[in-house]
Amino acid sequence: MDFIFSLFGRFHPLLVHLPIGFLLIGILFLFYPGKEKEVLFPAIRLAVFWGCWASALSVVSGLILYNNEGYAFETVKWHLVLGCLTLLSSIGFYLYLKAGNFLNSKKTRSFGLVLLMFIILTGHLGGNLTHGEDYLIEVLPDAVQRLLGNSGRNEISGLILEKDSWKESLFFEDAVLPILSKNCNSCHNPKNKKGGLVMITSGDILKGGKNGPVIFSDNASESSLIHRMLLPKDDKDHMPPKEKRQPSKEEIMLVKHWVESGASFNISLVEAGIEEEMLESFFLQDKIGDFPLTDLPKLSETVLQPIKARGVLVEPLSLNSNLLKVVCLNVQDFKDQDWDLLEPIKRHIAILDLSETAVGNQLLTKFSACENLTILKLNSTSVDGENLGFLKECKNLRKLYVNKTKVDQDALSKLNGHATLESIFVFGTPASIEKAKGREISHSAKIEYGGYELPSLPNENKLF
Amino acid sequence: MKGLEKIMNELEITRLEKLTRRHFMLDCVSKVGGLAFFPLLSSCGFGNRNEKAGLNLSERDLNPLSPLPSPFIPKAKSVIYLHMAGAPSQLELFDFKPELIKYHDQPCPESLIKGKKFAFIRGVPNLLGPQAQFQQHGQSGAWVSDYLPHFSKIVDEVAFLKAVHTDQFNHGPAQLFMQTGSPRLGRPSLGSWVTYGLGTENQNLPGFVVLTSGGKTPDAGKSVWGSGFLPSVYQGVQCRSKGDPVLYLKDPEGISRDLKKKIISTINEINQEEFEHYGDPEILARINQYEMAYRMQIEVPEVMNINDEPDYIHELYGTKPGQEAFSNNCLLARKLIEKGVRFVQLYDWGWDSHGTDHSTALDLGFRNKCTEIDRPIAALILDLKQRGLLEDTLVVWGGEFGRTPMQENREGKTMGYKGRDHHVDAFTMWMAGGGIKNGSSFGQTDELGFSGIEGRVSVHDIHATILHILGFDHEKFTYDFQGRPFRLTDVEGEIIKEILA
Repeated sequence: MDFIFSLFGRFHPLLVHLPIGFLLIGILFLFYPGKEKEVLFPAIRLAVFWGCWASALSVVSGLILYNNEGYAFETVKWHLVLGCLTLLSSIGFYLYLKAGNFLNSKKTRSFGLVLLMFIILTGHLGGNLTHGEDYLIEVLPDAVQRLLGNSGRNEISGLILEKDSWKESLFFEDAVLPILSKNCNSCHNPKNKKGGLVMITSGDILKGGKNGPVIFSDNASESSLIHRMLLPKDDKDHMPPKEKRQPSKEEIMLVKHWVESGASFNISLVEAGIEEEMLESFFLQDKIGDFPLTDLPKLSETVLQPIKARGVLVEPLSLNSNLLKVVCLNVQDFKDQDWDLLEPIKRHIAILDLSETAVGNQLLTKFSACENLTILKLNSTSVDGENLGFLKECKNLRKLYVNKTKVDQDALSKLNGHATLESIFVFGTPASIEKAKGREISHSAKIEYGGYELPSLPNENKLF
Repeated sequence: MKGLEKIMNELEITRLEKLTRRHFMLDCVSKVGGLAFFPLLSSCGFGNRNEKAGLNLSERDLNPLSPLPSPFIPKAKSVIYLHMAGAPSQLELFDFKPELIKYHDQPCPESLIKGKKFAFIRGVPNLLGPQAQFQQHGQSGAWVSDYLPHFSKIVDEVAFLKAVHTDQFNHGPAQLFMQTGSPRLGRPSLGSWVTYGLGTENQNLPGFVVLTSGGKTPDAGKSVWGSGFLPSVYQGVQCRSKGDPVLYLKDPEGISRDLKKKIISTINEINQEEFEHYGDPEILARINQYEMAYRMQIEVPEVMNINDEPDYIHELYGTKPGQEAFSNNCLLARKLIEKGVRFVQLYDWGWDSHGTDHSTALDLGFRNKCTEIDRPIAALILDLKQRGLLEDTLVVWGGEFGRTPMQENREGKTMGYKGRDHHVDAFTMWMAGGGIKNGSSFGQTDELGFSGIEGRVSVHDIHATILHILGFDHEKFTYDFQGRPFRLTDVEGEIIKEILA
């Protein structure tokens, strides 16, 4: 029959509205400005009388809820105290009225106001408990939120490791804990102990929840910490619940590895046999994809307008990127002189495609300030090897396309040793012809000469 | 006069008498119903929002194919999708099952087929061992059969998905599901979604081009490249596989380019007036198509003509100029991608190897089909690679489902040729190019190749992955229709990270 208590406790959020309503109507009548106030007197007394009983019910159900649902005392303290004060003062007020005190006196009214204050404060704190403390602030405009000292939503970033220092990191504290705090703590914290489980410190986790410990260091697969995450998403025991954000496979594997390695709180990542590849997704990226991270300001539409008007395609790499992709596919008469058009945006250009345009060698001398240029396509242009060395100035160049140009291998060697250059495409150039004749220079970048063939096979055209 | 007044009076009284409560109720139904009907209409695209906004059109409205940045930095910017319509057998190509040789011609274990439905198999069929010889290839050690000798050389460029599953075992619905994310008609195809989301770079060419070969178009009809509820400007443009790729590209005799320009501007002026009057976005689509057609006259003859390609390329692809051929289409796909087309979709028909006749026998007609695509596909990958196009082009290969490990026994009879029935539980697809982990393989089937036991991926997962590579979050890429946002992946789809670079 214990469930009766739990059930009753859960009615608390409903029951609390009764005392609020009863007492409020009583207090409102008290301030009724009409002349014949006396007629309201019995109604006020009755309202306060009911308010007393309703308050009592609320307090009792609240205490049961507090006991059964794992709230910490710190969290509910003021709500509890004020709730009791509301009950006491409503009883006091009732007795005061019953004693036949004069309705119009200032004393009666101030008693009512004090009671009102208690109700409002208790109610507000109760609301904070159910909906969260930022419930009301959340919807305000950002500027107002900042004024109120709320720095917006605190996104928990989860696990981030550094490539050169991860070896010193402790497995639990530096790796597992951040994963848990990102994925589990919104429901398993001292304020909101779902299933009686808190996952803030090593102590909490060792303590386990209502159903006992969540980790068995000698039996990883039985540990519900792991077991529940590995259950299919539709299983009712799956954690986190299916409608919540799910941890990534890498995160689950790392936590699993920790439990399997003995769930020690002092072991380091290296000692547990974690390899660098397993952590790849947790390393902080200093670039996005292939492109450098910069703090250049986003360019405004007015800067881009004249370029677009020429027919050049200019668009950010992605919706929020400050870097640009510039493609001259639709302006084949784009010449070296037209570069002036791109001059104002040259530091922003990450991808530049000038294939099949009328540009030539002169252009290569102008790329020096293109610090973010990552991909440069000059296929089928009149570029030859002459000024190729100027591209050394492009500190982030990774891919260079000079297919069907006059570039030869000697010209390519000018770019040998470029720190970031990964591949050069030279299909259909003198360089690839030299390659076909057996000459191949050694180069720091991968050179794609092309010229693939698929020699015909003996039975290739046989029909079955 | 008095008489007339009397009659009028009488008439009025009769009219009022007739106006009963019943009439009032009836009026309410039709008129209140009408009120409710309006929002319904507008959500279907009638009474367009442009009307309300006073024809305040964005650049996107006026030029619906203009390129747009994706929400995230993409790994690939264009797609070539090779769809083998009819569904090729994974068990003769990529999914090597030695156990199946052992159990060849033995009855299929009942536990496997219990409760399963097949398109043609009835009762208990016999297992059918692989009809091809398998070998491991490349550094990745991928198993590929001797039916694809050229493809075997490029396995290190692709990522295999060995345990794809679908839920449709008939061609039409399965093709729709694979291409639109829903087995029923009405949804936009993958290519339409992509062109809608990204536009296209070359303003003289359509963003989404469809090329077919194999003598027939897919069973599901043109809806597999349709635009569904997206504006129709995003549907795939099918080019003819034989003769002129697009009809009437050349101006007729006596009509100069200038005159053509004048004709089209006048038509579009009239259309523009029509649009201003009705606000129907389909009129804008029409205006754009006229302009596109005019511009296509410049670029299409060059791009769609493979004759100008050097002999070396023709040999590489094994093209058959003047004929309808998959090899020609592969070469065209490369040319289109090189010119900035966003999405090229190839359909090759003739893969439905039931074993009913010579052409659908696994060791005969099917083998010939494999020969037809083997060289062109290997050539396409190599050609894209040598031009550096494989860096930002995603190539996808697959059918609409797989084939059973059992031999088909249509109507319970033993059949004269070796064939397999439609199979939804496990089949192989592969991807290559931008964002793909070269030489990888994900998923595994059981020892008979019946169902996936590891790394099972759904059609939605494949769509999610393709959109991810193109820079979209498939859960946020939506289009509002009939009062709710729609996604390509509906409410499912998980990115297959295992095959991503």
